[in-house]
Amino acid sequence: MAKFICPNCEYVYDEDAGHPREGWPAGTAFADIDPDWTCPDCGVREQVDFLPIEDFVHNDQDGPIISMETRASTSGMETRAQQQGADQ
Amino acid sequence: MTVQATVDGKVVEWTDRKRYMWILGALIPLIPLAMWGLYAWTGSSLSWYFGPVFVFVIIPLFDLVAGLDPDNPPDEVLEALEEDRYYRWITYAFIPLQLIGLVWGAYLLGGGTLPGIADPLSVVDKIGLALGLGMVAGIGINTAHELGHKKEEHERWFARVALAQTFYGHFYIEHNRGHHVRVATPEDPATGRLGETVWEFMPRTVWGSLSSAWELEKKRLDRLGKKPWTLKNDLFNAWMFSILLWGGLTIAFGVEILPFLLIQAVAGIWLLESVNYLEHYGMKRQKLESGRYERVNPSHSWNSNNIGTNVLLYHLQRHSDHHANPTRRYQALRNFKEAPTLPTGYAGMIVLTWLPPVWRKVMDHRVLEHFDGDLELANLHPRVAAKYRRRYGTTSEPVAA
Repeated sequence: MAKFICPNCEYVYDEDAGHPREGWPAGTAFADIDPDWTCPDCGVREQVDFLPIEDFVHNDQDGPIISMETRASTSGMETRAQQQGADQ
Repeated sequence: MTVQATVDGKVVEWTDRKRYMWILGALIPLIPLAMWGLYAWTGSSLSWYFGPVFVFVIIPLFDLVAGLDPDNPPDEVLEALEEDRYYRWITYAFIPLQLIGLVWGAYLLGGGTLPGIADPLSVVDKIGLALGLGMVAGIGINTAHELGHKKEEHERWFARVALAQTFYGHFYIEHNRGHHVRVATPEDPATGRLGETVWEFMPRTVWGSLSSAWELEKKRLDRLGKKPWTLKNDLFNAWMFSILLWGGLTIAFGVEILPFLLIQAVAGIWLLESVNYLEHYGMKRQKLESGRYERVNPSHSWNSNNIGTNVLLYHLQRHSDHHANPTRRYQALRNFKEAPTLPTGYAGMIVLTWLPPVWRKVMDHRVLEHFDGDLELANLHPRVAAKYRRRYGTTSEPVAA
């Protein structure tokens, strides 16, 4: 049976195990879960947002703005600069 | 101490300047102890009012003086930073200290005396003491908030313990599965609306959050084929901690402490809900063609980098990152330069909420500027909608959603 992953926090719904506490007994197909069921860990992605685990590359926590922002932050620049210095 | 991570064969190092400052957050529950010391030292009854003075005067002034801290950990070390157990132990330490302070306070509320406190407290003193315990309780809800978001089951139980003092155990359910889902929409009871006063917001959020928590648990138990009247209902098992705690204290120190337990709970809840009010004041996610709301992004929360409140509230003010990544631990939360920023820390902003005209003067133009002057994009409070449209020059009615 298949596994589906929350693209925000990487919680994995395993059809074999289900999530009995949430009301999905072992063996509940992911397609049978309510589309507005929210991820039990982060709460900010719904059933329709989940991905089959084999399609998952990395989580979507850091949108492009965020990563760019972090890279531009002073501390990030410093560590990279120091790192480059150390490489040379 | 330096955090280190190796990514693509490169070693990235980062030093957390706030590493040892985080311990200050676990000192909040020592506020009651400070009252004792102050009273023993000065003999002044005003000492019993140290709690609110600390939260609403000392922290805001410290924020104004100490300035901003926009320092971000680089992406590469985030994982290592989260894994560092030191940080979570600081949050755990809060809880026993919180409980010790409460027991100590309840003993005095029951008419007890201690070295340095020769006579039982007067009613006015007790009200001050209860307000101080309430400040700890409210900040305890923030500790519960940090723990309740985590994937580890034991941390979720710690959250319930930290919520026991305020009888606010349902917060753990409503916040994670209600507020985070509906944040910055008119449907969210815990999102302050543009033009809404904090006094209107309080009954709406307290009642709305409770009924939403109930609905969420009822729906979950329905799927299990169970009635909501069971200890499996997370509301009841969280409230059990409160019944044990309040019941134990009442048996130990007498029923006369109950009115004061109530005062401290209300003060704590007020503190927490005030923060809810201002964190998303006026913010609205727009509806997409599919009928769903756009995803929460950094533009939907008010942030602050004032270091005082940030250290005491575990980076709660880096609120945009928290809503984007709710399970991320506090030490790894980042500042986003483009996110909306408050003029000062949350503690000082709470003081402004008490006077709605001052609050509106400070905040309303910021909300409007955030939406480039388009009032209809904001989460406008229905009561003031017509007035705001006249004042801010939009005459058109909003398009029916």
